[in-house]
Amino acid sequence: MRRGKIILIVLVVLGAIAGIYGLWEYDRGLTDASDEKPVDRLDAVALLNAFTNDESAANAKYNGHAVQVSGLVKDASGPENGKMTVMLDTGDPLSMIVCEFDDPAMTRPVPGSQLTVKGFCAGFNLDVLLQRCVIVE
Amino acid sequence: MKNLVIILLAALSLPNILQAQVRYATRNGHVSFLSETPLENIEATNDKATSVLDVSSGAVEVAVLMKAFSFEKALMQEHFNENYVESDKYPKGIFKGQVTGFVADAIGKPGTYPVSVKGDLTIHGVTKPVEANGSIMVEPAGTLKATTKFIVSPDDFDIRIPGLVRDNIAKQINVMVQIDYQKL
Repeated sequence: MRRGKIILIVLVVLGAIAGIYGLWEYDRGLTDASDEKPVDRLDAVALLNAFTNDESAANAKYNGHAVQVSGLVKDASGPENGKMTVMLDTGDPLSMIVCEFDDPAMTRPVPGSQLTVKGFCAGFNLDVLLQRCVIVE
Repeated sequence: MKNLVIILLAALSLPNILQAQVRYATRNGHVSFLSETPLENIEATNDKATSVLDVSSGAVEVAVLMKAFSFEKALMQEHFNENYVESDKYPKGIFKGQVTGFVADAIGKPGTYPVSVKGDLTIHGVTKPVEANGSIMVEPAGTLKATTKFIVSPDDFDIRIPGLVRDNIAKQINVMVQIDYQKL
């Protein structure tokens, strides 16, 4: 009888833990790239070249992963829809590295300044898009 | 003889001159979708759609990165990318079509013009025809604001929803598009 009670209590506790975990997992928000180890550290020109030379290979290597990119700030805009956007120059007038930051209060980098950011690569669509970025230096 | 060559060249290039392309483009188009069910509503937005609209021919193309859709919850975004649209395998959604009801003459005449758009939408490696009504607003500054909405079904694009969450995802998804074009 006592054993059955213990098993019941254990099952209830396990059920409660599973329920709490499920709720936490369901409600989990998107996190920025602060704690992510980048799959690559490279400059803006090299990242664009990776996509323009072989988009499939670059998609396989970078998409969905954190990438650390350095370059000169070409422009910055926002906040818009709660996001700041910083464009890194690639030397190609048609394509940039577009870095989205989920922090609308961040200080806008000055065009021409050197910046290193880390963000999740979303792919190449005229520009290479990095999301949920953080400034490394 | 020299005059004849000039006349011939002029005659050959005349069709191109008459059909000079008037193109508008953006790299910040807004595409969102909404799935409404009694259990939950799921909405995602993408502010990085690229698009080119050739006003002279009506040709329009819109491309979005599937991973650039932002959801309220991380779990929804992960399921969308990994299980449903398989964005590693199919990173882009592309629409290529034709806008009717808007002619180059409208540029310079601010106002809202009802249009219809018809073309092919490719998602998840599957291409299906799409047709929708919308509008193009010519703004005094000369920019164009195009809006449309249409409905897509995940089934049509071979997007399989697991039984466990089938009731959480609508069979008809509302897609909203709003694009502010700048002249090229």
